[in-house]
Amino acid sequence: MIRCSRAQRWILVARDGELGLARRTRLDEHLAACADCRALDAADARLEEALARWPEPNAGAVDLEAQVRAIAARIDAAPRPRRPSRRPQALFALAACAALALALAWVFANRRAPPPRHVDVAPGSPLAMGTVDRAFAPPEPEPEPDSDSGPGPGPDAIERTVPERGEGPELDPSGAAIDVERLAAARERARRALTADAADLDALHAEGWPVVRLVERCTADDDPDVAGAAARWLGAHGDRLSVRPLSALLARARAATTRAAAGAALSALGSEAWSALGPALDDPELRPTALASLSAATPEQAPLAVTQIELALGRARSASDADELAAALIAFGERGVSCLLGVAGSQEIDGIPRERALAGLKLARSTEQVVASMFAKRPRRGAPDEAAVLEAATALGLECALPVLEERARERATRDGALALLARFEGPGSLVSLTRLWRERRVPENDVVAAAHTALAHDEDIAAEAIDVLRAQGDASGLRALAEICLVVDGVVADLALTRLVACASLSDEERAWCALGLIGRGDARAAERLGRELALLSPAQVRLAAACALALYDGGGAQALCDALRGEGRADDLGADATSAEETCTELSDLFARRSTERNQVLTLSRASRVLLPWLESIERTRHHP
Amino acid sequence: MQPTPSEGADPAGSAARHAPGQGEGQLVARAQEGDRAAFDDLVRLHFHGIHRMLQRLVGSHEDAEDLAQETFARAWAALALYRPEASFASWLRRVALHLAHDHFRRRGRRVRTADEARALLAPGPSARDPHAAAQHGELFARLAAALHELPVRLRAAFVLRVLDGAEYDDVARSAGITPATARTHVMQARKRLLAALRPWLEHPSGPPSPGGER
Repeated sequence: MIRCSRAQRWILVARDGELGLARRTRLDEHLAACADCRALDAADARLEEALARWPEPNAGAVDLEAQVRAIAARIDAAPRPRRPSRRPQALFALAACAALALALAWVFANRRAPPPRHVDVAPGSPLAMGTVDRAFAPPEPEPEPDSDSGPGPGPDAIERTVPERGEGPELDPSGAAIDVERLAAARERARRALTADAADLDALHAEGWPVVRLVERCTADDDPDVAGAAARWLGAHGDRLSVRPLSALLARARAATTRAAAGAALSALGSEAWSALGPALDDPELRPTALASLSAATPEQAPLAVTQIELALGRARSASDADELAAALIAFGERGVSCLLGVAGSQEIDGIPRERALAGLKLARSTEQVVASMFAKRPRRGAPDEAAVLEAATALGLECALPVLEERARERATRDGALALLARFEGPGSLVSLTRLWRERRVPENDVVAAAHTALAHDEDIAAEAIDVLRAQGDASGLRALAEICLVVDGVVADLALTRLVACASLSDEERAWCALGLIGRGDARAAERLGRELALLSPAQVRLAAACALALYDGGGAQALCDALRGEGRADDLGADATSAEETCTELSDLFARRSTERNQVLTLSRASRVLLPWLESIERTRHHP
Repeated sequence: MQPTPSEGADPAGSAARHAPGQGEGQLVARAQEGDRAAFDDLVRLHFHGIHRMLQRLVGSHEDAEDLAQETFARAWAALALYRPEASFASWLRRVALHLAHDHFRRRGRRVRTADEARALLAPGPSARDPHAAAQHGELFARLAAALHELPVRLRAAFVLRVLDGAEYDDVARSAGITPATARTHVMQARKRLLAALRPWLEHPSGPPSPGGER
């Protein structure tokens, strides 16, 4: 005879159709003799019967063609749909091609460049201007934009967009056609003229020398006075080619006066020099001049000016620097506010710039209108700039972002980001939005619940404010959705919200009772106190709600809290309940609630509690009408 | 209940939409060459089966629909990895089970719903219709709740074997486990369900209450 433990295992195996005949016979013998195992076998047979009769999920509810379309849309929306390939050999072929391309690139890179064509040019001609410039060019070291001029846009930025005069393959980079001695002498004259007699520069010009280029070379002079004087002269007489030496001077110079001269010269050269103004905008002393120059931008120049300030704001190290730059951006109106939103919403920028950008946006009166108009005229979804604006608008608590966030939460591709922002949104609006999403059932419930959980954690009052908003809107289904969400969410704030919803007359009595029952096993003393107050306001017609409240009250505050509520303890007015009736009700309810042990029992408990509570409710109702 | 072998395909005529004479193998081969129409036919062929399995796993129609769509989108992206040694349906089920596991990982915890509260507020047994249909309704509700209390791995094996009627080899391929482990999982699931539902199974009208309230 087999043991019960083995028999019980075999019962399950047999039901699965996997027990052999010999074991089946031994099992049958055991079952004939053992009542416990027979009972288990019978229960398992009923389970099997229930499983067989369990209705299939309703396949008819699924529109197959709609699903095919939805799947096709997901495939199309995937960032980089991978075309299925059955040939892994293709990978090897690709690798071989890449290796060949690398080899060819190496061969070409190591070939000697053809000798440059020699062109004789006359001094003073436009071509010679470029040649003269190159005659003074390296080996003198130029500051590397990335290392010396700081994080701001360096001279290369200009070089990329503004072609230098005389630049081209026909120039002779070796400068062989130039009389180097004459050039050195001219440079020395220019150097002297800068510190002694500026009129000599005019004389040089009269000799046909490209004076501007000579003076530009003087910005690299070791003497800070010469370099500063050259910068000042170039501020008045320079051209766009002067930007590069001036920005190099600004990045390199240590003397404040020299830096100031370089910054002022760049500012004076106009919009073509703005991309080199980064170091000036980073320097608190040079910033006012640079900002004044940028602020004078025409509407066509504004994008460049705003970009420079935005970049500088991203680099700001102190709150005062950031505030100054943020204010300059706001002065540009919608474009500036938009840039500021970009900084405030950027995931890559953190700390002072982001914090001060948000502070600036909070102060800017036009922020909300600008954000609203951006959302209104920007139909592109999920664009990085929109994400940044939404991020900033969320941090600022701008209500105009909520409809957009709701819309994005409905789309699978942008759902996670939108829900995360809704969760972070400070204010009741996010909860109201989440109730809408909950009701529509287009967003997975658990995602909404997770967002609501975070939103509720902001502060205790948020749920109360959301209830007020929904009540003011007369949105009973929104309140019901909020109740459903709070039933799912754990936490003190959700419990407090449930307590408030128990008292919310816009909900039906049944819905209010759900909320009360949701507090069972998780309510605290505060919730119990509110429930006690609510209990005394109910009428005999609301007896089932009263029973649910009493049960939750007992669960949160114990028998004492329940009895205090029934007696009207701590109330300013007289509840009017008969003392004996209150005591009896209290004793009977406490006994009833203490005896409940299972969830199923709880249904009966509520029915019985209703019967017990009814006389007490009738007595306080009589007092209410006939005090 | 004797399991009936199933490939998760929908027998309700959805396959009729693809070209006659086109076997599943041909459709898969064409889809692997990048033929979207062939893949659409595969979706029509298998969507209901995958959706049904997912609905039993996750409980919610909407979640199941979402996961089923994602299953096919992922399947398209990974179609090159499919080898015809296993059936296409088991491969799809495996993708779906991975997504279901992720779904539960994200969800992290069980939920308390308004439906539960509504059940608590239902009138007591004295006022309830005592018909067997109602009893079965309650048993099914309990069964669904008990099924959702099971760990996902046990639930997946149980749903595939007992409710979808798959063979153990197929359960094992779909769940990425050995057939022996699949057997163990199904047995453990059945044992837990039996333990959770025994009061209702032994007393069809509901378990007697300890306080003698019934």
